[in-house]
Amino acid sequence: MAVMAQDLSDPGMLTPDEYEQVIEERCQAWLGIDLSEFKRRLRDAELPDTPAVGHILMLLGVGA
Amino acid sequence: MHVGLACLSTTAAWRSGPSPDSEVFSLLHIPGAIPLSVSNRTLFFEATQLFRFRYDLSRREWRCCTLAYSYSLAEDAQLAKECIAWHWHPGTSREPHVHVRTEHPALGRLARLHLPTARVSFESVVRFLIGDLGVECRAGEGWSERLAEAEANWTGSGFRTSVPHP
Repeated sequence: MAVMAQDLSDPGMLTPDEYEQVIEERCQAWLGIDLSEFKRRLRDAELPDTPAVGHILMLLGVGA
Repeated sequence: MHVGLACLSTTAAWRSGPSPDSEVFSLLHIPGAIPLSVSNRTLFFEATQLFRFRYDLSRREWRCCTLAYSYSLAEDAQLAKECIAWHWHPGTSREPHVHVRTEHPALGRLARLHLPTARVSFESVVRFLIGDLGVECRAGEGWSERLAEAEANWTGSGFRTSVPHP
């Protein structure tokens, strides 16, 4: 069942570009790196186990 | 969820976004790391969730089902000095739990421990922050009743969306 939140008229739904920008800003503010660097470190298992990393991973859909 | 967030901030708002999995969405607040006034100091709070939509045939309405959550209370806006964290992320740790980042004389560093909990609602965390920790409530009188009503919508099976099924 593929459901898009836009179909449910959710005014708080960000576009994919807006959403990526939010994650980018949090990577910079919390970790001092950009999102591409975060993804590289994730791929290479170089990310520390910290609260900020945990929140960003969840924003990327990891954890469910 | 909106009621709880309004208790903590007059400016923060929920936003959701698409995860790489098209059926899973994440929930976050804008701006991040909400400052909280506690006595004469400032702490910071961050909440994120993963959820999906599910149609409830019996109620004839769409509901949002929480799939994972992370609520952090920290001393700093970068969340480096976390105090307490409520976690449920079944992908990597099956049961809901809480981390308390302090030392205990007998048990050592408690942060490494996953203290088991039931699934924790966002509203119950807000109530703890205000009622137990003394976080300044940003909502007006009656916040506790409104929070209880909002929490009643969270019954473990999800909360209602504003859009009924056509």
